[in-house]
Amino acid sequence: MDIISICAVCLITAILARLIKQGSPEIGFAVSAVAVFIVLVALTENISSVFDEMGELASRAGISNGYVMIAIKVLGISYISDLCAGSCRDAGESALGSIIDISAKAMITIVCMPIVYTLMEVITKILENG
Amino acid sequence: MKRIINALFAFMLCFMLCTTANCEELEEYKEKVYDELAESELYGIMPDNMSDISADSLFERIGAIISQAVKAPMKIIGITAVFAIISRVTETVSNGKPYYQDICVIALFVSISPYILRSFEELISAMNSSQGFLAAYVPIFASIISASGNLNAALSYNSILLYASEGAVLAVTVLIKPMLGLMLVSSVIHAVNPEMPNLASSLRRISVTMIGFIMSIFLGVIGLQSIVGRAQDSLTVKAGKYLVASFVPIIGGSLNESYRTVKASLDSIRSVVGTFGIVIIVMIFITPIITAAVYRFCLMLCEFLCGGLSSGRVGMLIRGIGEVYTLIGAVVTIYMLMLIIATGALIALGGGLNI
Repeated sequence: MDIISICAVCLITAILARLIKQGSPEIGFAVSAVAVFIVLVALTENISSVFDEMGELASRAGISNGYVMIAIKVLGISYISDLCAGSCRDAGESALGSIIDISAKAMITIVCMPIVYTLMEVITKILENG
Repeated sequence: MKRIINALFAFMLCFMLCTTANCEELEEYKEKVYDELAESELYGIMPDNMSDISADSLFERIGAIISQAVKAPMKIIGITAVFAIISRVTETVSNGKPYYQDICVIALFVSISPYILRSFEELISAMNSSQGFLAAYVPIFASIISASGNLNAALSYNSILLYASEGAVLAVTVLIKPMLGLMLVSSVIHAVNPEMPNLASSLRRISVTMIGFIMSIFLGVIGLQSIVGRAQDSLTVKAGKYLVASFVPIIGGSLNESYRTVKASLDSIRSVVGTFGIVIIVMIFITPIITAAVYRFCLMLCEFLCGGLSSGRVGMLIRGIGEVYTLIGAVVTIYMLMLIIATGALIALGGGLNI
């Protein structure tokens, strides 16, 4: 799906959701949520090739693929949580949006722990050798 | 009268025995030097082959050292380039959220740290092996000086330089090695959190000043020898000026003066032991100097690359690591200059040389 298609889907969904919301706000929200999901899936297909290339580049340079994967995972968590939190806020559920934000930060911390742990090990090794 | 004749006879006997002992020691030291040369592959140069040394062979040797030293830094360049690209891409697609930069900086440091730490070990081990070689080289050099009639210089040279070489390695182990570690850690902390102060540059300045201080004390001892020894000649005056003006050409402004002092010292070494003395001093230190310079140059390239890709935080980390290699280069250079100036000054002070 290219950018024109994405824009077209989003615009049509926005108009439809606006019209439907006047009669039934719940269905209007569902329509916009489905459109977001479709665009996200389409985008994932496109963007995964970029991440594959980044992983290939890293392995060619002799970098552990784990480090690149961490960056990609953090990016994924950030994207998904932003979208979901935004959708929740659109539906008038700000508390849910906030909890998604907090959960995303916690998940990012958990995903980054191995790399932080490795950094601490390296620093300890440097200071011990000194 | 009889006592005086006996005393004179005893003195002559002692002197003759001492000379014999010196000859035996010379052979012993010569063997040690050969062993050290063979072990350290000095670095490809053996005393027997000295007559075969040409500019071409020296350049070939330097080329071989560079090609050996450049392998790890090339990998560092590759890794840095990849992380700079990843950092840029993630920053662009993440709407400017800051933690991608943090992840890239940490991942880069963790990825290149094995190469950096290995190079530290290699450089410090090169300094240690240089000290091992000096321990064997100094007595034989002193014997050559004494054979040329400069007994005072030989005695001073032997004791002072042995202590100096031991002291320099002690300083490297006790002072410089922990300082390098601290600088490295400080660099990564500053790159992860730019609000933290960057201590790498300050630590480098402190280290170089401390080494300069040690060097000035050491050369001050040689200066005291000059009071006991001969009248001040041009070399001593130059060495004194050099001490007062600045410690090291890298940090000071007295590059011209230090150049003249080192050149005068090299001239005095050449006049006593020929080119062998100069070549051997240069070859002892050329491997660590070239290695540190190659790393520094490659890190500068990495910094340039990061600047081009607008990866500011990654560039910050690389700049900090570069400071560490600047310090290593300064330490080795100071050590070499100390050896050259001390040798030249003691040759000049101890006897027959008037520069």
